[in-house]
Amino acid sequence: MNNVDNKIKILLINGKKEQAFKQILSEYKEKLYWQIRRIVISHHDTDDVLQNTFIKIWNNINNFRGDSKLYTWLYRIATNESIAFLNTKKRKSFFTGDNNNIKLANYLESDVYFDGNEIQKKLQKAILQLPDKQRLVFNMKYFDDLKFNEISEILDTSTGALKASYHIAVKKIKEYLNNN
Amino acid sequence: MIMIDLEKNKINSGFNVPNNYFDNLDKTILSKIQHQYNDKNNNILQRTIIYTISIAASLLFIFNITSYNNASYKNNDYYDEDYILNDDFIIDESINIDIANNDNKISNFEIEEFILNDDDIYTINQ
Repeated sequence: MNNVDNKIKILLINGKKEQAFKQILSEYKEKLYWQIRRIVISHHDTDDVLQNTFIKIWNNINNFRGDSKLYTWLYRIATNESIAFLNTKKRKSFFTGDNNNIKLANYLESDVYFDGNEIQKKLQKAILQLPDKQRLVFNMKYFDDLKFNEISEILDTSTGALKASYHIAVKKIKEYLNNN
Repeated sequence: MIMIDLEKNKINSGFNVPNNYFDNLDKTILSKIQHQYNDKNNNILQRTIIYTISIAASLLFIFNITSYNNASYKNNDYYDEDYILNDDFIIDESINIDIANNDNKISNFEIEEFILNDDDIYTINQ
């Protein structure tokens, strides 16, 4: 990951914006897709959010100064886009009186792009019971194997707070799995 | 009841994607960015055209006003507020009509004959 990031940074320093962007696209499209997918759940919504994320990356690529790691910067954009998308959905749910997380859990049942077994479905439903922050931390730690200091850079939260969030999230998921 | 041990057995998310989704993704995103770029350029072009027309119209308007004022006031020697009958109508003294002479009176009707249209200027020699 670091070699590719360095290559992209060199391209950016040399003003080769298009080449750098194509490299980012090729290297990170899948990683960012799964990051977004675990937050917004539906494939179609993920596709929209991912496209918006890459448009944001393209529009702001000249502002990337290289102070932070490239993948941290990209993950942050993807996470912010996903949260903004969920917030918009929640606002709509507020007016219709629906709970968005319950809606997402129900959506899993009929999603043609979810082919998980009973255990996977149960785990996803358990994750959807969590508050957004705990859900984000759990996904990044459990599925992406990111370190707490990396998650800290992406979410701009202290590692101590993240560890506490993760611990609470695991506890809640275990409780859900045992009780359902 | 299904027993799950989160730590011991790593569980995958279970999500799937349509066939060839990632193969076509580059093309889709690059074409969307190109589309956005074209839209932006078209907007800039449209705005430039509108601004140019607006500026040209404003300049033309200002030029016309200036020309009109110059035409009206360029001969200041003859300009006298007393001779202005209305906004569009200025009496010029250069036309030599002797209405002071009783032998050669010109009726109001005849004076009006000199007014060809609103923009015309006629003069009366007092």
